[in-house]
Amino acid sequence: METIHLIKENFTKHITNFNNKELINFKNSHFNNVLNFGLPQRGNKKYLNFEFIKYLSNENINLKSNNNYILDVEEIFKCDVPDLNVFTIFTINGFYYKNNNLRHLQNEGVIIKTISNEQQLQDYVSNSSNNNDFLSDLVDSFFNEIILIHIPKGIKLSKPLQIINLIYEYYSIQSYIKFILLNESEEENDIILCNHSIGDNVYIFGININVILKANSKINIYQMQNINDKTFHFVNSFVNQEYNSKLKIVSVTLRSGIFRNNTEISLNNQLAESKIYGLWLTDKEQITEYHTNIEHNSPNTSSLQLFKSILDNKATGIYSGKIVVKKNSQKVTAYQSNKNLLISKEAKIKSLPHLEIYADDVKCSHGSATGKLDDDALFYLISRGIPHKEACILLMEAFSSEIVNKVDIESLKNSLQHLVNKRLRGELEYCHRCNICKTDQ
Amino acid sequence: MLTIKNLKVKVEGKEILKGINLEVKKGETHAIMGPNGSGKSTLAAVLAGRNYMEITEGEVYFNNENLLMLKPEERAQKGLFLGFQYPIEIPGVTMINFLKTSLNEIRKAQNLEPLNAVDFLKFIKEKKELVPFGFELTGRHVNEGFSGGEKKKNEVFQMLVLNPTLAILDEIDSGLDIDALKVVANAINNFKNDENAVILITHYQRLLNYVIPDFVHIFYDGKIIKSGDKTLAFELEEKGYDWIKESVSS
Repeated sequence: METIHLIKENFTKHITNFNNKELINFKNSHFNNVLNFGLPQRGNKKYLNFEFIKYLSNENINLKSNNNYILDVEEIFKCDVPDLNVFTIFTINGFYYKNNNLRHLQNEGVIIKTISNEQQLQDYVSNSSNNNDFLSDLVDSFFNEIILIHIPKGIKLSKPLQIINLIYEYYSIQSYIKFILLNESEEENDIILCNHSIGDNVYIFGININVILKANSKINIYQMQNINDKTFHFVNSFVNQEYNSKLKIVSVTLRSGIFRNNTEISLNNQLAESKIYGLWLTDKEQITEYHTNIEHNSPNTSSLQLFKSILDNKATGIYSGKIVVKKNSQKVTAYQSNKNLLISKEAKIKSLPHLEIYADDVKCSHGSATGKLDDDALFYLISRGIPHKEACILLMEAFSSEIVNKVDIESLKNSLQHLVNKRLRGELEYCHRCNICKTDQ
Repeated sequence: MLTIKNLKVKVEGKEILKGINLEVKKGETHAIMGPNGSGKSTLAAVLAGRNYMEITEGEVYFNNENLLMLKPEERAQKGLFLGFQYPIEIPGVTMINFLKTSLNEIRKAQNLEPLNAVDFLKFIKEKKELVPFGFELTGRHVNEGFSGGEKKKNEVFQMLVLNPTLAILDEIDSGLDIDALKVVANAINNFKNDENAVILITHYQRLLNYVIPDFVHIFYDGKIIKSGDKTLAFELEEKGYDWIKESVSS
């Protein structure tokens, strides 16, 4: 069957099973985009790799549109970061999994709920619609739930909020979820997003996140992916920033089959500031893509991007970063840098920095550097008795640390360092976290 | 301890070492002097195991083992240490992690238990008192942002921590002011004992006022053309390398 027909058939099934009739118009309109614009084609600058289409044409990946499982998520999944003192909420296969932390979070003044009608949706995202991107339209067509996280003015969480998004079934499934993060708090809060697969099946796992940062608000978003090698996972983030709002995103991809991260940020008012950092560790035949699009729609806005990758075996990495400075956006600073370490001769990186500047009084820079481990540094370490493999790991860890150190939560930073180290040693298997796998064995 | 027999080495097809013979016994300090480009640093590099050169002839034995057959990390684990002329800056690798990894890899190879964090830090603190750095090592990355003098102090500090049996110090005195030179010389004298040996590669006699060599060898055009005791260094300082060149050609 042709890919688009398969998607259409799935959509019909999905809509039939979808309980919340009030959101069907919204879904239909996004699915119309999917149909009208079709699959991304070569030449579409937002898409540089088309391997994921194989997943969408696979008839054996069942659409997961119900949550008719009986699972104790907290039993089957143990977070890798043991000392992390956080409020954790879970989603599984695109559905919000309610637990006690919801009450704690409500006591702290944070509103978390599923969105049930289009009116609510419009209230929150009226000005953050995205412009016809295939994969984000796909999520907006197929999501099982929309989860709103609203941090009102003046709220300072006593602990970071951790959202663990899981995909898990005994067979191959695809599932999608959408988040809306509305932040009004001028206090600096931390959100940790952990995206995991459980089990060894082929999955498609899509997430959209709409972030609205109101005037003077501050937020740090730490995002981590550890997904099995057979999965296509993608995250689209659409951020709208108002006056003097501050955003930091640190995204670390430890493992994934194909992973695509797309971050689009609109800096709409003066003094809005974004810092985004990314690190991905890729090997085997994995493909990891980071796309960014930062629009400076107002004068006196600033953005900073630093993306680093380590690629081994036959892995492919893609960094495509776009900065647009609009005509009247004077006094803008926009910096962008991409550094890649190729460990094997067969690993590949496409690095595409892209600046469009229509204002004249701006400070912008972009740079891209790709290389191998430094021979002199390697010899220095080895000459002190450190075996070659260990010396390589030390240097790769050092390369990664520039991103890992952007994490301000000490326990998360330490654990991330530990996970990166395990990953570089080839010891990080997603299964060790999963208690089901343990009982199966 | 170290026996070099007729060692010939090419770098990019050009013969740099043209038959070196040298015998270093434990308890000894040897100084290797000579003009730029005479092959001194190449000798240090080949002993430490750098792989950009081609060994065309000769043998090297270190404690009766064929040194040239060993990997560079194995040479270090068996007690060979190279103090770099130009120590490398490694951003992102902390000094503490670097030293701990090195020390414990060497201990592991010698069938010793690795030091735990507490004992390690105590050990480092003791050694650090012998090499006043003027700043804390904790939180610093390997040689990153170190001044020329601090980098050299860091080399001898590592030597004291790793406690090799043979330390080859390549121009450890270059770029040092007189105070730093004294610190470095002091560290070397602290290190020296009857069971280990030191090879100092230097241009100047200055260092040898503080670290007294048992033997001085003069390198010229890839060969040792003259060996003697410490008075040879004074003679060289006084008469310059032209004296040597003339005495060779005559």
